[in-house]
Amino acid sequence: MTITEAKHNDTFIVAIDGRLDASNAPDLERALLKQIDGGAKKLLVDCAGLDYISSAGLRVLLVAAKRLKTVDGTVALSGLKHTVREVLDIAGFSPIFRLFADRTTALAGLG
Amino acid sequence: MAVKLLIVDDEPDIEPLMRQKFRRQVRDGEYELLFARNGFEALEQLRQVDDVDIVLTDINMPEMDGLTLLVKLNELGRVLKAIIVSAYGDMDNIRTAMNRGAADFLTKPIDFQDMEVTVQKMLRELEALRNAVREHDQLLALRHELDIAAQIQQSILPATFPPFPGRDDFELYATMIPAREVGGDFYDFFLIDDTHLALVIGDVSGKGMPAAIFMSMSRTLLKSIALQGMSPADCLQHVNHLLCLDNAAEMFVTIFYAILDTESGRLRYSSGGHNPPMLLRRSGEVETLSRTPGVALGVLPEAAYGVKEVILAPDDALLLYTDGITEAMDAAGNLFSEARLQIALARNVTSATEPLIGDIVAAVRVHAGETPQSDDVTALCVRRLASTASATMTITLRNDLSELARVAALIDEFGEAHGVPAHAVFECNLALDEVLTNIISHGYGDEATHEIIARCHLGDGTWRFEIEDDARPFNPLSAAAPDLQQPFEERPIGGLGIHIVRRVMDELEYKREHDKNVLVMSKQITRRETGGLDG
Repeated sequence: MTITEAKHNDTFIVAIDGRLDASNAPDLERALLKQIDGGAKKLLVDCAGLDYISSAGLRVLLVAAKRLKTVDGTVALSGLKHTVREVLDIAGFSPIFRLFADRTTALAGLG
Repeated sequence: MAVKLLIVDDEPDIEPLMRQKFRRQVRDGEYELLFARNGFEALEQLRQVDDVDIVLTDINMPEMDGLTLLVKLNELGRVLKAIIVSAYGDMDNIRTAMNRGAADFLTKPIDFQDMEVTVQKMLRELEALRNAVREHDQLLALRHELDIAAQIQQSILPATFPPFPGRDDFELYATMIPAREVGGDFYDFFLIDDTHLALVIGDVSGKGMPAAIFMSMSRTLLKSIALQGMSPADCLQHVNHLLCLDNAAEMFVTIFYAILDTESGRLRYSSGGHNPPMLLRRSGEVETLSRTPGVALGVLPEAAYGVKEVILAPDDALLLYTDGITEAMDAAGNLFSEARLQIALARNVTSATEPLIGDIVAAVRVHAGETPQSDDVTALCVRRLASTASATMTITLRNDLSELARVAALIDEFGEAHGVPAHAVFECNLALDEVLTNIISHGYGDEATHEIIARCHLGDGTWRFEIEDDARPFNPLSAAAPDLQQPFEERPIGGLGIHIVRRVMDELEYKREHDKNVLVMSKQITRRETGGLDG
């Protein structure tokens, strides 16, 4: 898994590529919490390059969502492949996040 | 060498007369004179002397006359000339004699000068005739040699199809259509052992007998070395070395050699300067195998060969071919080309290999039209079939999360090799990942290294996993299902894994055996009509 960070206006973008499982979920957790601790309220996780996610990855997204909820922030996901989307659906996670087709749509939608 | 003249006449004084007239030529060794009193004696002489050049015969003789002798001469089938000697004005007999094959005639009384001229003329005709016969014989011999070469080429190629009637995990067909002049294409296939199929195609430089012999040698060497179980690259290296040792004719051969693991679909291949084969995926996509380093065999004794591999999923087909296909020309000189071959292949996704090759050959013929085939057209096609036989795999891993990616790669490969649809592979991978993550993250109270064994078995439409660990006793199936309706801020961080496993797998079972946790989970995989599997 590789993590690429970017910022667009007040939206913090974290792009993840490859496999997200229990072995590297802590890396993503650190990256997301760093953004939140740094004042991010709008966090976009770009999943266009994400091939695989397990519940360990979902937990990290849930942790981030919970943390942002406390400061009225929001976590959005973009570019989900259908297999990744299926894992989110099975876990009942889809309603928790704002989902966008791709990064451009997401940035426009988040304002 | 003396010209042999057989003079047939019943007049007793003809012999001394002739010996007198031609004494100089006989003395100088130019002529050799033989005599007979009638047709019978003449035939007897011819039986004893088989290289008589010219027969001079009278017509009216006792016992067998000259006209009958002419008929008998024809029956002998010798290369000789007959000259008839008859009374002046005896036109009827002369005409009959000419019709019966007499080459010329002389009238009595014999004008010896005229006779000399006629004999010389006959000798010139005879020489031309004998040259023609010799050339004809040489031509026949050459044709015979080419026939033998063609027979060698054809007879050493396996030609019984289907070649392995008992096998339902692959099928193959091959053909070699020789050009008019014998070339040196060949194909070969054989089982190295129960699960390894050797596939070979080659093209020898040059034509005719030398090419046929070189081809036969290359094919035999390759097979005998391949059967020792060597890798494709090592095998080509050995064959090349042996071919270089004794290659006075400076010939060479391009060879593609691959070993198909019929269980996993893994194809390992090596090429000695041969056109890369094409892979027809069951989706209809056509891929050209990437090249491996290596030159034609028989040129450089120390040449090295590279090896590459590719996976053939069930229903994928591999086409080996020679440039007789792609370089077949139409009247305007346009090549059939790889592009046309790809198109012809792609429309045969669902064809068995025999009609597939038939269609390609037909396409080549349509392209060539009236243009004669200048090179052998050779193709071999193998297709993996989704076997009804079962398959198993055992993965042993350490209790370390870094092992998860390796396990996933093995499951991906196993699933692809056995035609499990990608979606089902993804779900099985997800379930296995969740189970292993739970064991590794929560199962052990110590810092020691432990071993986890994951066995998987695919068969009877079910993919079954058995995960065995020596962690503390824990039944993951006892965990309560999470409440997915809960507002997310109230949801517990955790407990999701087993929920996902329950959702993607069809059956789950936990048991504690011999101080080990054993979790068995399975998923239905249904076969599709095309031979693949659907999840």
